[in-house]
Amino acid sequence: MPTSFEEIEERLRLAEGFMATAVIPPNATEGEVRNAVSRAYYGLMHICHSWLAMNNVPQGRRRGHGEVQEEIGKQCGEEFKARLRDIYRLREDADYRPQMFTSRPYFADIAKFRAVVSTRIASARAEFDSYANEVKQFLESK
Amino acid sequence: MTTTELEKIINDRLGAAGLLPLLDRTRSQLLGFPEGVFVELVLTDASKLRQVENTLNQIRTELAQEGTQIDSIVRALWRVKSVEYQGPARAPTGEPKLALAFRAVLESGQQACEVVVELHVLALNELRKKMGKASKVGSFSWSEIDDVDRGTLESVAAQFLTLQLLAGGTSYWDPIRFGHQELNEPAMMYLLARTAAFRALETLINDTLDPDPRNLLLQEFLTSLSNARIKIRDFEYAISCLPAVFGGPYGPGQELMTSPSGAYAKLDGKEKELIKAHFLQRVTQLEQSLPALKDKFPMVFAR
Repeated sequence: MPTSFEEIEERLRLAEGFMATAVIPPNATEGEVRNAVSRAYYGLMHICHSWLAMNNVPQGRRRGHGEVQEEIGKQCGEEFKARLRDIYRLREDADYRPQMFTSRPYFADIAKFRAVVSTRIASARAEFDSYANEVKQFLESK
Repeated sequence: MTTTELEKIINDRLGAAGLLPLLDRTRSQLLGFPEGVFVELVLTDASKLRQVENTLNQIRTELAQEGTQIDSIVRALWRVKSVEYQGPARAPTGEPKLALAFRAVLESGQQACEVVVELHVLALNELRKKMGKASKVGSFSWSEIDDVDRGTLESVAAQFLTLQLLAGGTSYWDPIRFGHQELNEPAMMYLLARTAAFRALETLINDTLDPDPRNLLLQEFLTSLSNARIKIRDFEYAISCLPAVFGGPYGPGQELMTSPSGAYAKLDGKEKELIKAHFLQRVTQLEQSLPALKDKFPMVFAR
């Protein structure tokens, strides 16, 4: 098991890597849009781990997705937890529910799918940045 | 526990608290999954969100003790009240961004909130191409002179917000929680591909013909067609019976839709053909998904 400092760095690197690939090209297919949601969520999830490690929350208290959300709620507030949960739900839909694209609100309209989901990813990226900036400042101070 | 049983519990509790009239039944939904029930409650007044969330949390706690898991979204219907250009967008650090900032006011019942829309320069370039401002494509700045006019920019930002506010389910946008929206290239390309009237009519058709047996809009539409003795495939007549649930996010002066027929009248010839083809395709899908409807409404589905 890595030390906390190592974990902060490693999770940051992984998170940035995932977030960098969470893009929706102009001609993105349904699968590419779904992938982008998934990568954005995992980028956010790993930066949350990094941030929690920075704040000395042990790994044992943040094993699953729900536990990470709970710890973020305790450390940052319910609004942060709710935003993380919103993006988690979207990722669950993108990864597991085929009807996400063919039913409300998209009804297989790929341009609409790209338009709405890319905006949600932009919100996830802004959330990501708020954690990443703190983590980077912390690492630079060491 | 079935979704019907859970729906009754929720309705009873909201009714007892005087909150049931605020529930938009056409947009709310309950979906059963192996791991539990997903509940989406949509309110017409955001000032009551907390009360409804608290009620639902009580139900969730009680049912969890019995082994039923509930995941829920409680959201409100918002409309765009105003949009105003603010100037070049800036990061929290004060550094300029490659985007223009707009301040928008949204309303939902007794509550209002402010959000910021950032129109990214790549999205602005798409708009410039469409508006015949090719000489400005690639420019990182915007000015009142010889570029896309301010009114058009504000209108596009309002249409963008409308698009975001119409998305429900796991794709919903909570403007209180996420007060910042980025109008990027994919969103602009979607907005420029069709008129606002087309998008509004398409959304109404999709929602109405959504093959869900609990779809109240569908029941209302078919009953209306039956009463008027109109066949569903007689498109020009049938759309006059679509439920007039326009409104919601549409603000004053922003392509206000008062009726499906009114929206249809705004379309050009090509979009009229497209929307008709879309409608007929959705009717065919509806017949395949819910064949019992043909027995219940034989005249409506007669060829």
